[in-house]
This record gives sequence, C-alpha cells and structure tokens, in this order.
Amino acid sequence: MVSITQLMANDLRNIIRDRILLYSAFVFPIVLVILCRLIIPWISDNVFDLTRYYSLLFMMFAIFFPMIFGFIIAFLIMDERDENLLTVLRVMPISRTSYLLYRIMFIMCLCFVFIFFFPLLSGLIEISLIDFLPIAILFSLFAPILALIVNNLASNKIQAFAIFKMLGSVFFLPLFSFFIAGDWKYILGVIPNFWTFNALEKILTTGSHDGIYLGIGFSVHLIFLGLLFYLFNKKF
Amino acid sequence: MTTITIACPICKKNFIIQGTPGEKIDVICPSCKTKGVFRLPEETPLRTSTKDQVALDIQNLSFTYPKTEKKAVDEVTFHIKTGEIFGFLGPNGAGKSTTQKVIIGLLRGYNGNIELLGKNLKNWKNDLYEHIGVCFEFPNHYQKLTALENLKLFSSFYRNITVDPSELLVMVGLEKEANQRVGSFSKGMKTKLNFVRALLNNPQMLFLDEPTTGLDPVSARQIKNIIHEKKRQGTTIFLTTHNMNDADELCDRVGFMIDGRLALIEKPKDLKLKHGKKIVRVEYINNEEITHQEFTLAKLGSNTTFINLLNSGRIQTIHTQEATLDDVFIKVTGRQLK
Repeated sequence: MVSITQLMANDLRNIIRDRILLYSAFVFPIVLVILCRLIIPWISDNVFDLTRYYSLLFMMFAIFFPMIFGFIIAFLIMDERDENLLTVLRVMPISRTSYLLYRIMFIMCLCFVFIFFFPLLSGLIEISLIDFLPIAILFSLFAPILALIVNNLASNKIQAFAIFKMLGSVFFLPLFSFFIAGDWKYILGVIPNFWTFNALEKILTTGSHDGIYLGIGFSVHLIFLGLLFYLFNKKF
Repeated sequence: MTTITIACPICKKNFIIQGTPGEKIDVICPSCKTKGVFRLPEETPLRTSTKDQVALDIQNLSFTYPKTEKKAVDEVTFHIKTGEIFGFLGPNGAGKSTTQKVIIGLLRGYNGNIELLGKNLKNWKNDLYEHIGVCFEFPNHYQKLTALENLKLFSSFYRNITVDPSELLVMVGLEKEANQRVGSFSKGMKTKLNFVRALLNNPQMLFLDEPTTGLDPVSARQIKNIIHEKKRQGTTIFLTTHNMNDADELCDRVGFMIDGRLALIEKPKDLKLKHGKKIVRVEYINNEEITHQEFTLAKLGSNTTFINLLNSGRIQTIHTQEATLDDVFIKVTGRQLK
C-alpha cells in the first residue's frame, strides 16, 4: 500500500525547499495575523474606526489562505508537469487520480488548519470553532479550485503567476455583494467564495447557520472541483 | 542459493532474503511484519523451458492520433521472446515512441491486438506496472528531492517488495550523490537515476528509451553492462534507440521502423552479414606508404597474393567488410538515422 506519510513527507520537502512556497505557507499567515492583531486595531484606534468593517476585513484576509494554498498546490503540480512526472505517475502501479486527489486533500487540510484558527488568531470576529467549522471547510475547498483553474489555463509558471494575479482580483469581488441592495448581488454567485462570505456573514449577524447559503456553497464548490478535475485529467 | 538485500516498501528497513534464482517467495518484513511477494532474479541465461515463451506479442497494431489522418503506427506485427533484448530502431517521427506508448498503456484507442506478459493489454489494470519498468528518454525527477528521496518515493508506489534504492545508486555510481538534490545533478547523472528508477520493482520486462543518450563512455558502459546483466537474469528488454552501436552490441533482434511501418526484423549479426561485402580488406606498408588491397573471402586460403602478403610482415590491419547496422538501415529504408 502506498505510504501516505511518505507522500506527505515528499510534499512537505517540496514546499520547504522552495523559498517562495515556504514563505507562502508559513510566513505569509504570520504576517496576516500580525496585521489583524496589531495594525488594524492601531488604525481603528488612531486613524479611522474600522470596527464595523471587521467582518469584511476578516473575509478579505481569510480568502488569502485558500489563495496561498491554491498557489502551492498549483505550483507543485506545475513542477510535476514541467518535469513530465505526470506521465511517470501513469506508469506506476497507483491510480494517478488518487495521487492527485491525495495531493489536493493534503494541502486542503493544511489550509484548513490555518483558516480554522484564523478567527481566534486574528481577533477580528467572534465565532465559536464549531460554528466556524463548515465555513472553514468551504474556505479550504476553494484552494484546489484555484489550483486547478490555474493548471488548466496556464502552460507555464509565468502564465500561472499572471493568472493568479488576475484571479486574485476576481475573488475579492464577492465582498461587494454586501454593498449591493436586493437580489442583484446574486450575480456574483457564480464566484464560489460569494457563498462562503455570505454564509459567514449570516452566522455573524443572526447567530445561526443559513442552510441555503451553506448548501449552495458546498454544491458550487464541489461542482467546480469535479468539472475542473475532469478537465485537468483530460488535458494531462 | 541466492542472497539479496531488499527494502520494505512500508517501513523502508532493509533485510536479507534467500532463495533459488527465479523463485517467487513470500516475504514478511522483520520490522513491521508487512507481507509481500518477491521474485528472485534468474541466475542463468534464458532457460530452455522459457526459450519460446513470448513476453510481448503484437498483431496488426495501428494507431492514429486524434485530429490527424495519417497513421502514426501502421499494421505493425512482431513479438519479443522472454529474456530477449529487442531493439526498436528508426528516425525521429517513425512511430517508435508511439508504439512504445501504446504498449505501456499511455495511449488508448489503438487497433490490433497486444498480448503483454501473457495477458491482453486491455485486461491489464494498474498492476501491470508492478511487472514492467519504464525508462523515458528525458529524465523526470522531483528536482528538490535528493536522488535517494526520489527513489524511495517511487518505490513506495509498489505493493511488491522493491530493490533497495541505495543498491541501485551503487550500480550506477551515484552512491556519493545519494543525498544530493537532483536539481544540482548533471544531465548524465539524471539519466542514470532515471534508468535505475525503472529497475526499482525488479521488472519482468523493461522498456528503455535511449538509455545511454547524453552519457559519457564510462557511464554508457555501466548502463550497457546492467542491461546485459538484466538479460542474464531473464528480464525481457524493449530498447528504443537511434544508437546503432548500442543496438548492435545489446540486441538479440532489431526491428527497423519507418513511417509507422516495421520494415524488417532480424538479428544484427545476420543483417550485417547479409548486407555486407564478402571480402577482406588488408592494409599494408608498400614503399613506406600505407596502401590496401581487397580479397574475396571465397578460396581465400588458396589466394597466393593474400598468402604472400600475410608472410611479408608488412600488414597493418585486416578487416572483413560486413555492413554496419547504419549501412543496413540506409539500404533498407533509404533514410539515415538522424
């Protein structure tokens, strides 16, 4: 049986031995926490009161986590593409699909660990860990979506960087849904994290989960994932 | 009785097993108690009993890439006997790599029939790769991992017990670089690592694509010696190459592929004799200059000019004029191997 620990050790080595991936995975989250814990409160106290926007700021910073880990998955897979390792994996007695699914799950779990404790670490919102659990899973599911979009569209790492930059702006758009009156905001529902943001907003304002936002959120994420994974397997 | 060190695919600890050559033995790892099966390598050359067994049998294989009309492989039929080294030769774009990709299951949608290791290719699943080893032309490695980490990672994909990666690195002289990242390796070192990765599972059949390309003569010799050794152990080898010298030295039979078709299949020795001139060329010193003369092989022993030349003490070289594989290829296909 394939040793999962061996695969995880391999992926961690690949992350730790690449300066960009290392900083992205372990330094950037610390920077975000410092920003939330020290700089935002200082601005609120001394420059401009941001407290009423804390939930929005939380969403804005939280979406960075799946973006960072999506970036990591995307670049690990791009390395494998560049080195033709995806072809080598096809002549190994394992299912390549399972291998890629493992990779996605592993990085998603890493992302989940960071995102799950982000409410506590950032101090921007107050929510119990239990209540935050489904939201954290939704945030984490976004990482592989991003990775697969990039891998399906980019043919090299330079293109991948450009696509990341572009997508980065797109995925902040759902934040504007809170400033759009009426049902027009649902136009932004094609962007998966729209549902994550709104599900989070709902529980922060009402104190209970909105099944519809969560249900649609999970469905949209899983449909995106399935479709993108199918396209990726067809292409490579 | 053969003794061999193997590595457990789960806990990675090495241990020693013993058995008769070619024997399949049930193994239990002394450290983690994982059970598995290991086939000990054959010690003798092809045994009579396996002489006529066929490792690969291909009938009327055709393959056309999507969105193209021309067949990349066109009605190809051949077989490879167990324990044989079969050379697949041809210029770029002849269809060699496509044929290999179809055989190893990378390309589907082919026409014809492929029997590989006693089973129709369509009936093999992922377990096929427990039995075959594939070495691609261009090295593919995790650049940020060390040579040993790369081999350990790939060996973890096999259910059957694998060969100790350190032993493989020793075989190609990379033991000192075992803990060096592959990213810092030269092209030759990467090629050697690529080659031994195909041996991890002690495969019954090896598919090698240009295994000596980019290697210095010493390294190329190392690889060729390992290929000879694998053949001696009973491994069947499918060798795709441009290198006629390698094919000549290594292969029991060669197939010339051109425009998707197999132009001929024969033993290199027979080809060279059939297409060569039946003459001997003698170079000798005459008036302080080197000159040469050719003699027909027929009745050479009674050719007085030849005998006199032999006795003159002026001879520098004597060569029969059999064709090289290169000559035969050009003659048969009208193309050069570039």
